[in-house]
Amino acid sequence: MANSESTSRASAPQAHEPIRLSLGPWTVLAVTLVAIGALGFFVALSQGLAARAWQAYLVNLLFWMAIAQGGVVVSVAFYLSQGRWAGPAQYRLAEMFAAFLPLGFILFWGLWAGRTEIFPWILHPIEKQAMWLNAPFMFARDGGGLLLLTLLSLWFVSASRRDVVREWTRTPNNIALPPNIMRRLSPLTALTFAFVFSLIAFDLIMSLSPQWHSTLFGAWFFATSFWSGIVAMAFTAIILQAVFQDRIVFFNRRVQHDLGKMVFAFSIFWVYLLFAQYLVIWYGDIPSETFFIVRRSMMPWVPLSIAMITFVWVIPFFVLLGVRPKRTPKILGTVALLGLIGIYLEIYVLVVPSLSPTVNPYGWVEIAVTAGFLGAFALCAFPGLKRVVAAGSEPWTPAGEME
Amino acid sequence: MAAAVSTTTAQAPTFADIDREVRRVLNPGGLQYWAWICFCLFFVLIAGALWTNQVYEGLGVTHLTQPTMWAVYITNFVFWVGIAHSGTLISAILYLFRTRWRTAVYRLAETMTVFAVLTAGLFPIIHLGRPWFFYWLAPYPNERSLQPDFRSPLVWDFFAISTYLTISSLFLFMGLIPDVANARDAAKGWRKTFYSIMSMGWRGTDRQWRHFSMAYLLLAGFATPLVLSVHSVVSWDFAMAQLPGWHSTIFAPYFVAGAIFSGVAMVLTLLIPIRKIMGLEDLITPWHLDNLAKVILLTSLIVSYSYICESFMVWYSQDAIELATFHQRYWGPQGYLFWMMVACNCVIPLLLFVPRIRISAVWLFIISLFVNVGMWLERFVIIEGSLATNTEPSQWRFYHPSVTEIFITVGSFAWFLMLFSLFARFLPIISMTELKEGIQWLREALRDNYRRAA
Repeated sequence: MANSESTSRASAPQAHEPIRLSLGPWTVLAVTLVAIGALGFFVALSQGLAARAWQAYLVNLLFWMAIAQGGVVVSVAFYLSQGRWAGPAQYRLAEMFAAFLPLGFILFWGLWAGRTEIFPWILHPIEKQAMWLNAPFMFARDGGGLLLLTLLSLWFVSASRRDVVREWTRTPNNIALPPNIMRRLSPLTALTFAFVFSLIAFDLIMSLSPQWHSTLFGAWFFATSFWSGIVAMAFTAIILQAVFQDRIVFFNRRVQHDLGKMVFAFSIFWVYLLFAQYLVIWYGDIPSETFFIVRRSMMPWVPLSIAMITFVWVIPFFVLLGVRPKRTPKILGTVALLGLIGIYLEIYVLVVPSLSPTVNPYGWVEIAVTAGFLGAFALCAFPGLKRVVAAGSEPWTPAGEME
Repeated sequence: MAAAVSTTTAQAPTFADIDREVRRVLNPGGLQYWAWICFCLFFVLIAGALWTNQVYEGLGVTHLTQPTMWAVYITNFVFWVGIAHSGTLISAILYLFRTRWRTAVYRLAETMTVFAVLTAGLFPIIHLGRPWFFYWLAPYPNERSLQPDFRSPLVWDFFAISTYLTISSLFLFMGLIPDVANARDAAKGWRKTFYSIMSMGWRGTDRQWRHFSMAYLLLAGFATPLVLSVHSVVSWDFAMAQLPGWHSTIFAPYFVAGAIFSGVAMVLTLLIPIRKIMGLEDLITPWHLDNLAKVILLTSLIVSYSYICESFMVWYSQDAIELATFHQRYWGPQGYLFWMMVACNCVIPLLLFVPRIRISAVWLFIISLFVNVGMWLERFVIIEGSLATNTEPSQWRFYHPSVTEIFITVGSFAWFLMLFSLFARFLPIISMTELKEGIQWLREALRDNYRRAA
């Protein structure tokens, strides 16, 4: 169909040596952001703003961890579905943020210090739920789960970079299954992810309103994480193709189209899971379920709730419906960036109203903590970014061509 | 016959080989075939007679009474709607995903879809006390001055199912056009006339192919959201209520996954015998079986996840009423049904983690039967079990199906198998067009004999 176009564009990267990326100034910037974040966080603690500091910490931890882990699981999904539409580059791109996971695991333990500020059931225990909602058990199960998931993810990512695996990703036009190691690690990682991220969603988000529960909440959160991985990938790919032009595989229109389709499809999936919860709760009209939504559909939260749905579903759906927008880097990049903001808002709107029902505290504390996490995340992602650029600039065979 | 064919085609099947293999199936069938059709028809007639009796005597001949006014009939309805799901998944969603292995199996799945929806659609009507008023569901503002209640999920169902039937029939019919034209060119007698009408003047010109591809893509796009929406709406028949055991936010995706699970299992239940009887091993290879098995495994895991989440949330909330219902579900007088369901849906499919089992037709056939049983039980446990142990313990009463209900259920299977078997002899059950488009993958699957698992 679009073969002639793709081959002409595909041949371009072959003419070049793999690109080596240097990120010196950006590293300085990232370190500065980390310093700002740490400073802001500790100033807030000393100024009696501990609750806000810890809320911002939790929101950011969840957000950045969701992207990093989501990316790894996107790579898992590529292996399971034998997707090779952009060769090794698509795998490096998805695994780019994985280095944040060990840091995320360490930062998770930071929550222990702020536990009384975050979890309402610690200072006001709920007798009948105390079997599950008690701090030692919660940190043990979530910490254990995260440790397992992080180790598995790192093992998966390092296995994914082996030569034999790379070779498989370079040859899309066959029905060969991935090498054995990936066939074993991929399902294992996916299952652990589903299990651990459900736990995280129940414990770190749902339990903030302990009376409220929704069976789908865990699955919705890991769908959120999966989608945030995809938009982060799409955004990075668009930036890279703007910088390196035809020297990188993401310049290819078909690859952009495929990324756009992923953003589009899983955005619909996200809203489906949201709607499935909303409709059942609305129709059932049981106060112990509705209050969670009612609070978020009133001031001061309703603008954020609307913005979140707009950025995560309305814009991706209506803008990316056609072929051309998916193949227009500026449009796809903007949609992806807004999508990331939408996911940030989503987690903020899920967490903060449970703890601060009537006031939206967003201010310098939240901005500083977010900047700190952004810096740390970027520092973790830089080595991965170099790998993406190197893999994206090597020779590449487009998928789906007749031999 | 199959063996003789495979020596010539195994290494590199050509377009002509595909044509010959598929056309071979299109014959009037022998005595055994017609005996099978009569066998099915016999059970359909029994079911028809019992239903006539039910209409005459009233619903009292069933064991439906308070509090279990929904039981086997609604279970059958949900079961058959569920079966209908894999067809559109394979023909639409996997088409959009450019999945290579769908070509050999999608027509069969799609055919199954249409007949399963037709079977499902019977049950709400069978379940009516006055079935001749079924059209009252239609939103026709008329002399009755009655409007259906648009807030009722049952009305949503009516629209969901009829839309699904329309789209999936159109999709099946349209996909058939080039293949029927192919069959027409080789047919004689009344079949030639029949195929000529069905193929709508297809000559395979460039223009026709271009329009065909575009229309197919469009229909795939339309059908994709339907895969999710139809069974979501069916799940909301239950989840909207405040009944413990029904009211759960996970129901929609959980029912969709369950539907695909049971649907793909039914594809295997039909595909494996047909492949064997008709000698189609060269077109439907272990590669295809392997991938279907993976879909079953994935959806089985999603279903297991949902069971766990549901139970966990009941425990987490410590809601006394929910706890009581779930206690009955696990340990009550019908608890054995729940555990059978867990064995069939969660435990046995785990065998599919073994690559060797995923390419073994015998194993897959056995597992697919367990899944079919398990998914039927799942719906029964949810529907009947939750009603039987509702919020008023003084009303609790467990239900057992009557002879009428059992035979109508058996009749629905016979009806479905009869329609499907008739289709298989008269219209191409494997898409020649798409197999040819992806012939390189088929060749590859045959060349390596898909040996990696052995």
